[in-house]
Amino acid sequence: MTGFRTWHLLLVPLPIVGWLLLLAYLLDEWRPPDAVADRAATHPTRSRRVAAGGIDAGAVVLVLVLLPPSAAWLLGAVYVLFRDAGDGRYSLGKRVMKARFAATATASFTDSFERNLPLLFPFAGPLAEASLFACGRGRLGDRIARAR
Amino acid sequence: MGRRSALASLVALLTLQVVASAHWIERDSEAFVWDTSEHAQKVLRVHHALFRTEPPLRARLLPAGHDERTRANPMMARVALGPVAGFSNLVEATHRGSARPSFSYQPAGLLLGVLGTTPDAIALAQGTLWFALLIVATFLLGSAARDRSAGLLAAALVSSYPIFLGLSHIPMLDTALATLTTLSMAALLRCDGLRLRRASLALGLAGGLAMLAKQSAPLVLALPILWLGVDVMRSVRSSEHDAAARVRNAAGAALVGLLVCAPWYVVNLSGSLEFLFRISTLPEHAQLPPTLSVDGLLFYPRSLVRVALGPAFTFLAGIGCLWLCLDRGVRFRGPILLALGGAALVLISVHNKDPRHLTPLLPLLAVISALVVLRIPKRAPRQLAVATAVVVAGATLHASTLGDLPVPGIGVRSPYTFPPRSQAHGFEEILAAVDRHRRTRGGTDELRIVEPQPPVYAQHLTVLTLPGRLDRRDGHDVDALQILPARRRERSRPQGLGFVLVVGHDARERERAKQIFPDLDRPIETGGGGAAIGEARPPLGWALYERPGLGVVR
Repeated sequence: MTGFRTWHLLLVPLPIVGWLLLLAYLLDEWRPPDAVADRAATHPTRSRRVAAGGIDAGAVVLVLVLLPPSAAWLLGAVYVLFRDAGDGRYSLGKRVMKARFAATATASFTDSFERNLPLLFPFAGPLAEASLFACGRGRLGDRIARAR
Repeated sequence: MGRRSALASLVALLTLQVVASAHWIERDSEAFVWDTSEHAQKVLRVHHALFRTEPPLRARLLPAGHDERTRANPMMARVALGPVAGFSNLVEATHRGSARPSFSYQPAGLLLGVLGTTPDAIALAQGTLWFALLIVATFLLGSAARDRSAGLLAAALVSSYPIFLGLSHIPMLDTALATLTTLSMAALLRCDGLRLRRASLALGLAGGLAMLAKQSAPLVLALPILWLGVDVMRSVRSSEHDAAARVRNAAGAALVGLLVCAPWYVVNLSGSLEFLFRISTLPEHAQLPPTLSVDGLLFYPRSLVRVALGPAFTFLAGIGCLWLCLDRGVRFRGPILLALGGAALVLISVHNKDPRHLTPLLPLLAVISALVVLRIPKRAPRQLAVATAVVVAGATLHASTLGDLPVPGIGVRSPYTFPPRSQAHGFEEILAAVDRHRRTRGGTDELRIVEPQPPVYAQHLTVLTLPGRLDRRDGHDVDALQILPARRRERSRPQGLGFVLVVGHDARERERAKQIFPDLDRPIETGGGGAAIGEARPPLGWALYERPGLGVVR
């Protein structure tokens, strides 16, 4: 598996999260080859990034309102974790704002998983990421995914 | 056989079997007993966890009044608590219970959201759903071993094996285990000795899921996978050109398998081992024949004839096994023989015996039977053999589960396979009596059920049916866990006031209840249909779990 990194082994015993990592591997494995190619990265403005993140958060809140918590969490987690895959083509916010995850490597499902993993921790994750972003420091997920 | 005609035939077979199974379940009104009722309970627990609107921890820690307030404002509650609630409920659904992994309950738990939570729906969602998946898995295994014709014939055979027909009517784990081990074997045959990357990952995925169905999955899979590993190591030593790719694929498959099943085993390993040790030392096993006696050695061959396959299919499978042993030119002979031989050796050498333990082997026997039939060189005899096998399959379906046994040698009657039974249980009367009692005396802390002898009612399912209905009436989402079934091995003293629901007809049952609860000193309220409710503080070390022949164990 191309996306495998040694620290992923730490996620093996984690319930559900390990399965989502597995899903990332399998989605990468079954991706059409042309989708893996990295395109020239663009650097959206901060306001666009904030707006795109807000739209994505709104979509997750909508799911939380409409569905039972288990289904909502699963759908929301899959959406949040994989929204940057394929250069953000699965993110509603990035599509609307025409922004894109600027990756130093290819924007695979595993990269997207790593980048958005901190957001999976309820309350603390999104709060920490928003604080870091507001302070002008790189997001934790960006550092994990070695992206900016 | 073309892809379209094979798929159309498979869909027709699935439709026939699902309709037959649903028809059987609809006609049968016997309550679930023993393991069946326990698995039904677990399916319901998973369903509750998946569809609950609040996290389990919060429901346990916060006072009831707080729950009411949040229910009055569900949208805010959902958004605020959604992330915690969803994650904790999912973890509860996937990691609940250390005895058996809960993966095989999850499709059924989801399906109950559509079908409802009646006993029939539970049987359909757990038994019939996995039965349908088993048919598909056997088709894939047969297709991997030879071609789609072999897959279709094997699927037709496995779908009429009496033990699977019986298990399709009740919620058990064995069909799920057989399905996932069969899928693993299909991926193992497809991966071309771990040369094909995606098939190798599919092997890891199916193997990991099989481990999540039941701990006995390695019974079938261990030796073929070991054989595969040895072959990869041999290719590395002899520096074959694709050795590095095979090692990479093996590592990928191992990682996938680990990611699938490790979370459950990491958390539940000690409890799981304790459970396996406990069931291997049950006193009931003293009645089983010694391992090395003639009866012990012949237990499983006899079970094949009397319970699992019936005489006709056992004969066909026997011919197939003989042919596989003798003909060295058969493709995939090695892994199939290793899977069968290894599992048979372990089963025979273990003292704890049950015909159900054979289930992971039976799809392999179906495939071997299909292969030997299709191996017949001349066309006319081959088609005659296929037609005979299909006719026998249809006759077995009818004879074993729907009607009488018109043809000797076809169909079986066993504890797993029988026609639908119809008895008037008077559940509504019991529910009404419980309802009356709840209204006058307040909430229910525990509900215990005493079964008359011979057992007619299953205590667990009745217990589960009650809270489900009461919850709906009150608009509460009360967890079924609040009401625990009585278990013979239960050691802890139940807290709070206990309720005894005596299912019976007359004063004799009340006397039985009094014998079990010496301090049952309150008058017993009798319902119209023979239901009676009393209340008592259960004595230390009590138990009500009964088995025919063992009596009440205190």
